[in-house]
Amino acid sequence: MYGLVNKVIKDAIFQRYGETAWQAICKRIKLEDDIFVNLEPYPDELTHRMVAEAASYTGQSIPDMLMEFGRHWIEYNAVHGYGDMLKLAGKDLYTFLSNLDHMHAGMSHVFPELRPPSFRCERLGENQLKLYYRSERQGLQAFVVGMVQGLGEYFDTPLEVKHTGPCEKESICEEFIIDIKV
Amino acid sequence: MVASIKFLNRFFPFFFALDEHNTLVNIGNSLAKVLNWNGTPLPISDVLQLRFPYEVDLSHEAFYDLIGAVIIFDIKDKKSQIKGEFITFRGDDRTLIFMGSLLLNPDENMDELQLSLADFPSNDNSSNLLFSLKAQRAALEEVTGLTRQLKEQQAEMRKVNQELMQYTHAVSHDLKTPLRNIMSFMQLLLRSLGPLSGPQQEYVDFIMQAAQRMEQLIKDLSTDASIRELPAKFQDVNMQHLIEDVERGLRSEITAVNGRVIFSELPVIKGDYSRLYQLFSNFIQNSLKYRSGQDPVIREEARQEETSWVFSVADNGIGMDQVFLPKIFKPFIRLHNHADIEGSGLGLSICHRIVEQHGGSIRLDSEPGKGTVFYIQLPR
Ligand code: HEM
Repeated sequence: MYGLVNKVIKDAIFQRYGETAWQAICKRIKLEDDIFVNLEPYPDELTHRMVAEAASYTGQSIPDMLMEFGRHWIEYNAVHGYGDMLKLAGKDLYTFLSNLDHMHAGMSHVFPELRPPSFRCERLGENQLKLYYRSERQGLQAFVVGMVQGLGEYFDTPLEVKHTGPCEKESICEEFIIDIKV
Repeated sequence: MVASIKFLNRFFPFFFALDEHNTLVNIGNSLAKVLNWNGTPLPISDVLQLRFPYEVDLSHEAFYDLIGAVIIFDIKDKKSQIKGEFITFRGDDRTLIFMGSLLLNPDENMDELQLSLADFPSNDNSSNLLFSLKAQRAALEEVTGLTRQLKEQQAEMRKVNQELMQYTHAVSHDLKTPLRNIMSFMQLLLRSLGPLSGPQQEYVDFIMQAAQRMEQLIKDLSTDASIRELPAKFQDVNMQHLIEDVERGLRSEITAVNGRVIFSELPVIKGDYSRLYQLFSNFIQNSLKYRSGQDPVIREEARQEETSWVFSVADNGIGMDQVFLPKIFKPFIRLHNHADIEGSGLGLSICHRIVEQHGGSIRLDSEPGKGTVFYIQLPR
């Protein structure tokens, strides 16, 4: 994945656990050059190792770690360079989630090797949304949960999000239910 | 063919329709929002200040010819662009319809234009484009930031380098005086002691040799520092005269080992005289140092190539093994099987730097027992 992902993970560890934690993790995964460039693709495996080591260092499960990084993703992008993109995608959660594919598609002009996920959003009721997530990558459902939680904070919309399992009719598709608290 | 306004609005929310008098008779929801249009038919020139990338008179026919037009118009002093096509869509030839989509500049704020993504049709490439423009802008920001960092680091490195060179200069200067004192008091001591025994003389020789070696090292360090620190002064250099000068400067060393330097018809080139002097002087000293059993003969020639001169310095010295060749221009590398031969280990690395500063390159051929040839390529 592109360096942006690793950069956000590094920033999350730095902000939340401090520089010592980051250095310990780098040492464990034998990462010598820890300067990530947004515009450069890195092997997915590096990101997975970073997540796994961060989880073991902080004593959390990998899904919990991914969730934390997902929340940080929104926080980070809102203030570092991509804030305009977040603003462009919509002023409320539903519009935003419906525009995610446009957003990732637009990015692929700048990131030619992007293999973005795909999202579709459906209204189930006034305060309930269903999110369909498709990706060629595996094991990132908790990352999506964290991102949606982060979006809840970003839009000042208290919510609860749950991964409910694979989609009924489609393979390589995962479903999430979002309950908006009023 | 007749198209409903609903249809046009859904797929081309930035459309507008002109009748044969160039009056705006209909307009897409999104464009209407941007222009604050209240629905009254108006001459197009009153509503839009149209600009095309090329000259067009405002006639119906002229518009009609503009298939695939880019229209630049002013919205509250902000230039925006609509890209699309003029088409007769009503089948009557009296209404022209422009179907287009708004292109935003990356620095334009959609909020200011009171637009949101919903104003772009869902299948419209321009909404992807909007994201792409934002992503491009963020990417540019990153590149600019990285370039700035790189420049700062470069400046920092230059400063550190300069400080290091000044330090080397100062240290070599400060080392020279005590060393000279050691050597002169050693001489005074020898004079006052009178004749020495065999082993005593041997120890004294060792001390003097070590001191001379140290003197050479200090000299080379200081040369190296000034070559790095000071800019080269380029001028026309007559190489024939330069080698004559070098030979004169090294005459006592050359005659001491019965050596000969042979050269003729060397060209005039652009270079820094004193550095080129140092360069060829180092090569000759190197050949004298690594001489074989025969009397040293050093041959200097120049060959003209398309864009450069290639000088060669060939000797009949001991030569060296292939394994040493890649390391030979690094500082403090000495051929370990000739540890008895004097030298600071900086001579060839100084040569390499001088040639680099002249925009040239060095390479060499060498074989044990057959001698060494250095090839110095310098731009013409
Ligand atoms: C400004 C905001 C965003 C930017 C700049 C962005 C950009 C990116 C980039 C560069 C990748 C790496 C993909 C690759 O290298 O192949 C990625 C992956 C991903 N993005 Fe986004 N994204 C943003 C917002 C979001 C949001 C809000 C969500 C979901 C709620 C999301 C979901 C994902 C997921 C799940 C991945 C992991 C890859 C996968 O599942 O296959 N992104 N994004």
